Amino acid sequence: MTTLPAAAPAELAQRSPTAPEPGRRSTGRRSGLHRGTSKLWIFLIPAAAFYVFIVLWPSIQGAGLAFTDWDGISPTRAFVGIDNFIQLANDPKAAGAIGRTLVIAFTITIVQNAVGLLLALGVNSRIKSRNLLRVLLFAPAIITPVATAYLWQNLFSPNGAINALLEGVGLGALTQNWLGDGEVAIWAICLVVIWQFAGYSMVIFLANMQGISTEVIEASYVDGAGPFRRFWSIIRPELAPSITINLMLSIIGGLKLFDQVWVMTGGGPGGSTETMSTLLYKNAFQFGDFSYGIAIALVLTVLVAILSSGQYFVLSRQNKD
Amino acid sequence: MYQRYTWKTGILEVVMIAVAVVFFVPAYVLINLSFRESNDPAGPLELPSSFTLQNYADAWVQGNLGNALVNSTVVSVVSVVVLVLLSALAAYPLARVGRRWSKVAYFGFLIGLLLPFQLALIPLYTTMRDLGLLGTVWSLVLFYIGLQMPFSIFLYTGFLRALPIEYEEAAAIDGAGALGTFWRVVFPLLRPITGTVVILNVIVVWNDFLTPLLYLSGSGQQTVPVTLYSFVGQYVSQWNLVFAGLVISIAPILIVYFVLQRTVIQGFASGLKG
Amino acid sequence: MRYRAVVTLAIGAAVVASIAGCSNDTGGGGGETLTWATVTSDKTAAKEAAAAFEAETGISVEVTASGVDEYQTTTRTQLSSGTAPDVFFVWAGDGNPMAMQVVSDAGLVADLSDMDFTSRIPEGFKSVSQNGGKTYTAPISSAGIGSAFNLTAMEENGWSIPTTWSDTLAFCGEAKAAGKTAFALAGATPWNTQLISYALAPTLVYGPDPDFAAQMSAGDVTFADSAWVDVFDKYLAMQDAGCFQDDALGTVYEDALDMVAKGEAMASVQVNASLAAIRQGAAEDTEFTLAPLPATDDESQTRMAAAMGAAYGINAKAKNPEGAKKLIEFLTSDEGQSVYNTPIAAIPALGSSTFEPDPALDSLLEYLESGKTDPFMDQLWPNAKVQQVHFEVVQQLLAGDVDAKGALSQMDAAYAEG
Repeated sequence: MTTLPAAAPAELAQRSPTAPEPGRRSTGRRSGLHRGTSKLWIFLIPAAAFYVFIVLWPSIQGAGLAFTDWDGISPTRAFVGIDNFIQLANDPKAAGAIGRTLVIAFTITIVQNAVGLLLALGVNSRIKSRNLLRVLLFAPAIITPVATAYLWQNLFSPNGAINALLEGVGLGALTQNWLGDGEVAIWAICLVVIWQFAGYSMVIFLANMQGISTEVIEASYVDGAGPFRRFWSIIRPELAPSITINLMLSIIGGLKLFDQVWVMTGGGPGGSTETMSTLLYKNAFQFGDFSYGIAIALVLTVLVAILSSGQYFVLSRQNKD
Repeated sequence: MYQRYTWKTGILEVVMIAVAVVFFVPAYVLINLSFRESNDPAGPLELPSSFTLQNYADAWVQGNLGNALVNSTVVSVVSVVVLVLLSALAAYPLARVGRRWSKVAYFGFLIGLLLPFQLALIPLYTTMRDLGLLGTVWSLVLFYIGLQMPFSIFLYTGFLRALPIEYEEAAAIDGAGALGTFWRVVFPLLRPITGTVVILNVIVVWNDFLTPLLYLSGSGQQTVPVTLYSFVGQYVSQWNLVFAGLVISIAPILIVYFVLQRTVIQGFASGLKG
Repeated sequence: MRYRAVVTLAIGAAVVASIAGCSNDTGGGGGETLTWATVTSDKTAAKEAAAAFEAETGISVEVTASGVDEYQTTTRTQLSSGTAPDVFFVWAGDGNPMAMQVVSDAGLVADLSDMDFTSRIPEGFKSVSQNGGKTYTAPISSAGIGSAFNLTAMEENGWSIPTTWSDTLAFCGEAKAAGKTAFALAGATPWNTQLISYALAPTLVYGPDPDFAAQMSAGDVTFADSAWVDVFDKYLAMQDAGCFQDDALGTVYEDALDMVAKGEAMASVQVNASLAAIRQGAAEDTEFTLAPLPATDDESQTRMAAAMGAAYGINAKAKNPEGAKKLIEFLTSDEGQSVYNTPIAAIPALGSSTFEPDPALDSLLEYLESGKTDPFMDQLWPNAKVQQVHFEVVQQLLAGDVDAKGALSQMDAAYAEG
């Protein structure tokens, strides 16, 4: 297990220099909360029971299959040690898939959150259409990814709406064979994911912004701070919880990305959009090599753990400085 | 109020509307296609040359969407209500207690976010079989409560840590028990994030495809996405039907979100000030 | 407090809804039932056959249909846990995760050898429905691959269907010059990329050398040092002659069929089942036919790929094995063959006196009767990976990233994994 640093987002928010005493925050260590804090662990039991029974234990059982030669349906399986992992280390397709997975996750994390934050700032203002816009901008996130992927496949087709739109506004030079060109397809997939989930990030930022007490913001107006300084030194530190949550969710989502790739390109053309998730799916369910698919899944898990805890660590240190 | 509607706000309004329009283009195509006949020659951006509500009627009848909507609603409502209560309850000690067991438990839950679903797929299926839950919506409820627990706890804990602690301390001094403090003080303070937790969980539960396909297969009962996709691939042109069904199926979630986000916004200030 | 009211309301709704949910779960009872799983393309066929079967026997059938990927995933998971449906779709031969060879090797399908239909299995289908001398699947449909031509559009342009390789290339040029596409290619839909190979290979590889598949499994020949090189070279030659639309690698199946339906493309190399889909998008009275794709200049050598399509097996752990057997008996009967194959414009695998074939399939039927067909190549490949690699290398080939030999050696490597 990887250990994430224990610094809580709240501690970071606490350090905002200009915030006029938004209230004492605590991770509890310093709080004399209840006489009986030690008994609070009882509150964990119901949640933990569901979690262990549905997620943790079956995953551990499943992970064990990576050390067998199981094909996915036979009644028999043999223990083969780390053979699947040796095969993985020598599989050039797996290496390519890992690289592409990282590129996709990185791109999505940066762009989706930047866009989501800007949207949240925009609709957290006094503009009259804010309620409607909050719904419209979030709407893509509600549609199941499989459906949006089919929709975009249609929009991206050589004679589809995107190319027609580009021609229509005189940008004919920018038309592409979006999903048919291996160089372009991977970015087209990122675009779809960002389109769909920028509103999702927006909602999380928005929930956080609504939790910032109005006094904090009013005080900044009294100070006469400009919009950028107001954002950077007052709003941003307050947003630490949502920044952490959003970055973590998009890194994880980007690394595990499956539906959109599967529907739009199936890993093609010519393997140019094959990610770890599609490769693991193909092996587990299409090539009849379930245990090898699970081995890829384990490597993916480790990768997700390293990167998500890494960003958590970097972010918390940065905020402390 | 701290901010008046100025000409700058006006510019922002125009910019935001423009952005929303760009965002909305694909959804427009979806809605546009759902109202036309399958052999309509108009391009996806053009208005249809034939207007029909037949796709909606067909999707409703052929997909048996009425029954599927009931199933999806049951699964979503029950699992999300349980999720909200249990994950908020669990987040409370995770955010407020600094002891070692609290940190270990928190990261224990976070591991759940990392695991690809394929790992647990087969062992969990076997367990559901042994419990005799296959073919019932309760297998799905159980599944989603477990599956979404780490995510919900993650959201709640992050936000709870950022909340001021004075109210709880005041309640503690008043002599309220831990559960009383949680229910009367902490849970109401979590209102904005509860709205978010509800809507983000509903999306996952409502849209999931593979699990209901697997768990309810052969029972004659299905959820909305599965019935919708039962006419994908059958004939090429049924996309108009699928898109019509899709519009029907996302409408409830959009409404829930709209209602929630309004109450969440109104509620927070008053919630804070008691 | 309003917030609490919302929570109360939600809990109330949950209780009400869950009561409604309970009453739902008890549905579907009464009488004998049977579960039957198939793939989406055969959903209408299965539904109609199930209704006819129920009317005849009183056994109610619960049909589940899902897309190929989902079908493979869910059925394999169910098989591994012993909860699979009584009767389920099985692909012919090998080379697919739910193929006859795979499920029978694992002991998951019942032996059907003592059933009556086994004596009527055509010679060509025996190897792909039998394993170790025992029959494990019941063949229901035959399927074929050819060029699905829009005859109406061809007539409007004054063109006729080419019957030799040179004429085909010339026709491509003519169509292109007239601003049309000769053959719409769905290069973005993986399984569609294989169809042109499959249409050319019978004439170039399996016709001249009927033992090719056997020699391959004996290790005597490989893809890269065989006539398969011609197959890929001719695939590329078609691209160079402008046979396909621009950006073919970005075109999906739906769009390719739509091009043929609307007469923007004259044809698309497809399986016969796609004809029904093309017709749906076309104006009424548009005529279509499925023609062989020539690969040489000698018309008499032209062959078609035709194979066992839909086939069903009985779950070795079926909850209702008796009912399952009755369903298979019905599906293999004269009536069953006709009821199943009519709605999907397919051809009965075992023949049926009451069946009226779709006139668009005339050439396919003629080739089948005169024995000028070869099975789909993947049915004789040893694992599912070869086919997947085939999809991938065709895309690489058309993008110019690899040549015919290089592409085929990748397939050889997958073949060698066994």
